[in-house]
This record gives sequence, C-alpha cells and structure tokens, in this order.
Amino acid sequence: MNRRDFLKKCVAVGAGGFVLSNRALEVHIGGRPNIIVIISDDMGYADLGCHGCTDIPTPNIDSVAAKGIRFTNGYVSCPVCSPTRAGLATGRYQQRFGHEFNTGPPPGGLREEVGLPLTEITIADVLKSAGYVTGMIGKWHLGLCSHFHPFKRGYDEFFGFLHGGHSYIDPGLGTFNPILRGTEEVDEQEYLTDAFSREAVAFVERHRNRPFFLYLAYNAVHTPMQAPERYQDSFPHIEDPTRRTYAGMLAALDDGVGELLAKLRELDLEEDTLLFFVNDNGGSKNNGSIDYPLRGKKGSMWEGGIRVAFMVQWPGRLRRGVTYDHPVIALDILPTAAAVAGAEIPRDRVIDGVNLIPYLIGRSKAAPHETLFWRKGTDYAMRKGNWKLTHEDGTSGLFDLASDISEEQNLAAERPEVLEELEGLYAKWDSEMIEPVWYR
Amino acid sequence: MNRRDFLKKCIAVGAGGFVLSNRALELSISAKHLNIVFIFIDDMGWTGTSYMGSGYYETPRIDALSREGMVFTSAYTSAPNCSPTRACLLSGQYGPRHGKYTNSDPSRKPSLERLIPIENKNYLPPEIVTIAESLKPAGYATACVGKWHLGTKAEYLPPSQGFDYVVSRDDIPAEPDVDPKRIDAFTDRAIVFMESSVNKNRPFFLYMAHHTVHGPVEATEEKIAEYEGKEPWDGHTDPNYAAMTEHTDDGVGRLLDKIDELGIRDNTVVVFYSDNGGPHGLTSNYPLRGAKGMLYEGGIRVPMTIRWPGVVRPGTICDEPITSVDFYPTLLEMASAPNPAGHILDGLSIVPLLKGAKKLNRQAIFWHFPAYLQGTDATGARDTDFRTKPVGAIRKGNWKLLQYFEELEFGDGPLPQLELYDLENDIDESNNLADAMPEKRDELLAALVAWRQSVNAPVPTEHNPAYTG
Repeated sequence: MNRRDFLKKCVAVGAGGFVLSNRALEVHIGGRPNIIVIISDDMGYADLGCHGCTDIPTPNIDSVAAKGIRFTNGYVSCPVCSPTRAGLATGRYQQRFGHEFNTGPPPGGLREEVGLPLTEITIADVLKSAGYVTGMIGKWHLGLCSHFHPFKRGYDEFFGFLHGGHSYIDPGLGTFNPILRGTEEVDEQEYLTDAFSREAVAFVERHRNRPFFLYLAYNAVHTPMQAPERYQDSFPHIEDPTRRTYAGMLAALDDGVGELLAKLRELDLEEDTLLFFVNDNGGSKNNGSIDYPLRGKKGSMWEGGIRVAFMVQWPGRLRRGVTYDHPVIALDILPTAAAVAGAEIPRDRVIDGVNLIPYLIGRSKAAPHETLFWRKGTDYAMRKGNWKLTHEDGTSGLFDLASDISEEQNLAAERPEVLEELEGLYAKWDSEMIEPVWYR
Repeated sequence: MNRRDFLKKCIAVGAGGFVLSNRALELSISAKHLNIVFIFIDDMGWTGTSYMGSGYYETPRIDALSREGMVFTSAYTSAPNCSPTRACLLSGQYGPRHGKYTNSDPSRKPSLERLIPIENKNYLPPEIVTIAESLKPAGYATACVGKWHLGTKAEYLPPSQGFDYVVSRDDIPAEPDVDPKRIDAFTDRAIVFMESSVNKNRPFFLYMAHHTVHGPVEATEEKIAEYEGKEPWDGHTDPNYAAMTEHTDDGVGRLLDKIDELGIRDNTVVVFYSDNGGPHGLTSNYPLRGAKGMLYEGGIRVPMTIRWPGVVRPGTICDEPITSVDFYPTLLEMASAPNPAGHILDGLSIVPLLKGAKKLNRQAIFWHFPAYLQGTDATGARDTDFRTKPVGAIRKGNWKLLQYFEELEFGDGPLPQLELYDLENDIDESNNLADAMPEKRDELLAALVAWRQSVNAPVPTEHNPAYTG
C-alpha cells in the first residue's frame, strides 16, 4: 500500500490514545499531510520576487506563492527573533508567558529562566503526540540551558545551533555556540545555509514513509554578512556591497528551499505536504535588506518590523497562486498544523492563533482575527481591520493601512475616537499579559 | 565538480576579496594566537593614575602594567564624553560618519544657546561594522563586559554588534558597599569568558568596559579610611574618589593575575585606556586645562598604556598623538584580520609605534562637537553656563586649534572664534596665539575645514529662536 492510501485510512495515534476530534475528522478527508515550517531570519519585505524584488532572484521561494497562497497581510508576533519564535512555537502571544525579549548571549543567557518557559507546549509536542516524527534544523534561539534543548521541547531530531546567530563559515567548535547534532558538537564544513538545506533534504528522505514535521529555521539572512563563494560575483549590478553580500546569502537560502521542494517532488510527497514559509521579523538595519513600502525595520512596531513574507502551499488541498488579504499571524501555524494533523491543541490555556484552513478553503469569508496586538517593552501596536495603532518611542500614531501602507499619515488628531478605541482594546489585551521573565 | 563538493572547500568571502579557507582558519587558531584584553576605564583623567603623576591616587597594578609596556603621553579620545568616544572606538569612525556626537540631548540650556545644535543619534547604528564584528571572522570569541552606552533597543545592544558574551550592570545587582561599581562582579565574569576561550583554544577579544571611575563615587569603608587625612595633590583631594580609583586598580590587578595564571601572558595584548578626561567636580586634570566635556586637553587627553610581550619593549614612552578611531585598525592588524569591506576606517594602526616607530604617517587628528554641554563655572571652561558650546578642534604636530561655531556664525565677541595653542610650551592652553600667529592659525584652520568637508561634518548654523540671552 502506498503512503497516500495508508493515510486515507488515517488512524489517530497519540501517547494518551486520544480520540479524533470532529475537526480532525473533517480534515481527514484530505489525509494527514507532512508539515514543514520554513522560517527565514531578518529578510526585508521587498526582497522576494513575489514581493516585487527586481535585483535578487528568489524563484524557489516565489514558487511557494505560485503553488499556494501568499498572505498579503502576514504578521509575526514580535519585531525581533526570539519572541517571534516563541509565539510561533506555542500559538500564543509570547507576552502571556513572559518571553517578551530576546534570549541573550551568555552569561545572562545561561540563567535557568531565560528561554521558552517549560510550562509551554510547543507545536512539536502537539504533533509528536499525534504520531508525527519531528525535526528541528537551524536556529533555535529559545534558550541555551539544557532544559530548553529542542529534545526537551518535542523534537526527535535536531541539527543546528542554540544562540541567536551563527557564522556561516566557522562551525564554532569549542565555543559557546557550536553547531550541534542533537547534543554533540559538529565540525560542519559546508556553508551553513547549505548545511541546513542538506540536513532538511536528508530528514525528508529518512522519514518519507511516515508523517513528519520539519521546522527549518535558517539563520539566513541574519548577520554576519557572509555569502557563499559561488555567489561572490553574481550581483555586480547591486551597488551597495552589503546588499551584494545579502543577495548571495538570500540566493543560498532560496537554493535550499528549492532543494527541499525538489526532494518532496522526487518522493511524491509535495501534494501531501503543508508547507509554510515565513520570515521572522523585518529586515535588520545592518544586512542590506529593504522593507519598502513598509515603514521601519526589524525592532520597530511600524509595519516594517512586524509585517513579513508569509505564504503556504499544500498543492493537494489548497488553491494555487492566489493571495489572501485578511491579516494572519505566525501564531496561526500551530493551530493550523494541529488541525490538519488531527492533533489536539492544549485546552487548558488561551491559544491565540487560529486554524486557517476553513478561511483558506473559502468556508469562512470572515477575518481570522478581528484584532492583533504587539508589545515589546514600552513600544506597542495593534491592528483592527485596516486601522493600525503604532506606539513607538513614547507616542501613538494612527494609520489607515488600506490607503497608507507606509504609515506616513498620522490620523491620530483627526480621528481621536478611533485612537481611543484602539488604545482601549490594547489596554485590555495588555492587562492579560504578564511581566517579562527577563529583559532586553 | 558538483556544487556540494565545491562548497566543501568553502571559502569565506568578504567584499574586500579576503579569502580564508576553513582549513587555514583551523591552523591559524591552533598556532599561537593573540588575545586582546581592552581595559576601558570610564572618565579617568590624564593624571588619574600614580604613574601619570598623581601624588594622591595610588594605582600600583596599573603602574606596573605601564612599566611592562608602552606609555602613551598624547593619547586622545575622539570625543570629550563617554558615548561618542565609545561609538568612535567601536566603529573606527569619527563622529560625522556615525552621527553620535554627544551623550543624549545636544541642547542643554536652550534659552542660552544661540544655535540649534546638530541632531544627535542616541545609538550606534547597527549597520556599522564594529571591531567585534570584524574580529569574529578571524576566529575570535568576543565579550562585552560592562558599559555599552550605545543604544538600548535590542538591535543596538552588544549581541547585535558582534559580541558573543555580554554582561551589563543590569545583570548584576548593585552592592556599592561590598563591590563598588560592580568591579569584582564584572571581573569575575570576564574571567569566566577568558577561561572558557582558553579551554576551547580560541583567541578572544575582551572589551572590559568598567563603569568605574564614573560617578556616583562608590568605595568600601575600609578603602576610604586609607585616604582619610592624606595630603591632597593639585586638585586631587577626595578620599572617596581615591578609594574608588584604588578599587579600580585592584580589579585591573586581578584580571592581570588571571592572565598570568592561565599562562596566556605572552600571547595577550593588554590595552589600558579611558573614554574621556576626568570630570569637573570629581577630580582635576592639572596641568591640563578643563575637564570631561571640553575639547581642551583636560577633556580629551587620557592615560593609555599597551603591553604586548615580545613586540613592545617594556618601559618605552611614545609622544605621538593617537585617538580613539585608531584602535580599530590596530586591533585588526594585531589579530591579522582584514579590514571590513565597505566600512571606512578613519584611524591608523598604531602597531608601527608599538614596534618602535616615533611617528605615524599622519598630519593631524580632529574633533567635531556640534553640541552644548551645561556646566556652571566649570574649571577651564570659557563660558560660565556651559562646559562647552559647539566647537571643532584639530591637533597637528604640537599645535592645537579650537574653532567655536557660535562665533563663526554670528561673527561677534566677546569670546574669540579661534583659539591656537602651542602644546609643547603651553600644555595648559592658557595663551591663545590665534592673533599672534596668523599663519599657523590659518594652516590649522584650513586643515580642519578640509577634514570637515571630507567627512561631511555638519556645522550648526541655524539660529535658535528660543534664545533669550
């Protein structure tokens, strides 16, 4: 029996012998797909072909949009790396559990409370309990201590590094931040982006006969600025030397996505794989990225910090080559994955993300989220419909994203009643969040 | 050859065409590599140590370090206060390039300021390639212990600027009576970093940025008691401040002892430096004029010594002017790391001086301070309400010229626009020779103006409507 037939019989498997929920039963009509989440690091909003980029070709990432659904109003839950990953991992606003700031480098980062709190259930936990084999490749950035290791957070396999960044050419053997396979240091000789792509392909090959979940967290295109040799001279048309290097790094990332997709096709798995591509936050100020037409960059509450490339393909089940315009957020990935996997999401806590499938297959025309919120220290933002409240550096601005995506026209004075309403909604959400467990 | 095999040769590329294979990197690390310990004291004046002449402060360990290395008599900071000096040091660029000219607000008493000062960045831009970011590709582990002062948002903090191991005072509870200025706690953590790097056979760059001897003055009771009743010397009168200085010296000593204990003395460069002159009210920089915040010698001339066993002859003295932007190319040359592509470096490597050269191939060093710093009757200041008003300066040879921008814009007195000093014969800048020596004055002025043009330094010219005089 081939895999697709096997899946059509789709028996739920769980550590507690749990029973299929109605929702899972519904989705079983399409079988239990493999699930892949690819997350890139610090990429600019304007830097994909499908977002209008003309100086750096990204055909493979673009193909995900062409084969699936591209979110035009896709968000992450924080304008910086680690809290966004915490939100994505749990499907919850990370301020609910105090993961408001980046986990830092040692020695502070080695404090036992600095990491994704152990009370949280991750997407890997959820999918593993549904019988998926789970793998994490790349940048973890959710805690350095051993109790925060991916193995303890639902992942069967791990290849990557624990810190927030890594050299692409020096494996860092014997440093605070080595490349690890599981818990063992690896003397990785390949350009790191290519090494992660290699491992991703190998993971898929290894687990081609059972449902798998792969969380592929490239550190491309975060600093350090190191392009692979093959792209050293490939972008002479780009004037800015930093962006030239950036282009090389992005090209390697795109190559990797292409290799993974090619492997899925080779093994006849592409139709049955739900694959997300999302970027973790706005382009950083030091990697040559461009966030046009959005205002601001990584770190800020302007659209440029929180609105990102976000797309999904599931060729066997979802429409191809369309865009989806209602705001969605990376918190939605866990509930969506759980739903298609037939897995139960935790019921003892608020899950802020929503299962996007009914919206994406047109069963519901409503917006998945009435409101979305962001908070990092004293900066905050919220979105309701097309209204955006952006509170940076002590002042609130009000913007109509439908007509002013670049947040150039502050309507706070003209529409004080809207501002008041949004501030009120924010204050209510804020009151449900806790203080950060650590700072900075 | 397929792409993957080709990649196994994995060559790192910087846009400057620098090539280093992983194999070579491995070899260069296993050979005797050079560690760099940069001990950076906050607000220590030119005479803040006993070896530089204080008859009141006692700094035996720093003094010993100075005898083991080279003493620089004319070491300057590229700015007269903390945060812009650090910006210049870590970026290797003068202020006009990175936009950080002063600490926080460049306007301090608006009703008395005739000009609108130039806007000041409150952070070092993340796109700046810092020394740490340039040392990492050469295999260095990097640590920032202590004071950053270059921005508080995540993207401005040390981890985003190339530092692997970061400790700030936010990480350590304050215990001023037990561990003044957290000197011991910072030293402990620096030691952890050094030990770890040594155990892992990694060269390391330790940016040891103490908060001492900046205020508030902290010291233990016992240490203060040692200075009670001691005869003051030339404006050094405060037992509390002297005690804090000695705590600093103890901390430096402990770090140096650990370097010896780890067996890395012979392959470790130790730099000792300060970020600006001693502040008015806490100490005196006599015989220099002025204090922190001023472009007089007292604000920008600091103690500096470098120990580099096997290269620097112990006990040597260098008179050549050097400035903060010089450290970047210097440390890179020490580490055999290439200059970062696409990132202008304004300084020069001082390795030739360390190897015995008397002079650098450089005409002059410069300052641009288009801001105001308040002060009331600050020693050496030419204003009663300000430590400094917007000003630029140049040191060329033994000559120093200061150009004040209010006078440049308004063309009126009572204070002169230009001040010219012969530092060889008038180190306390008491005799303005601008009128007596017009050729020398114009020579320096032309060089200063040319430099400003070359770095696009903005001179404040906008009249302040809030000025009431």
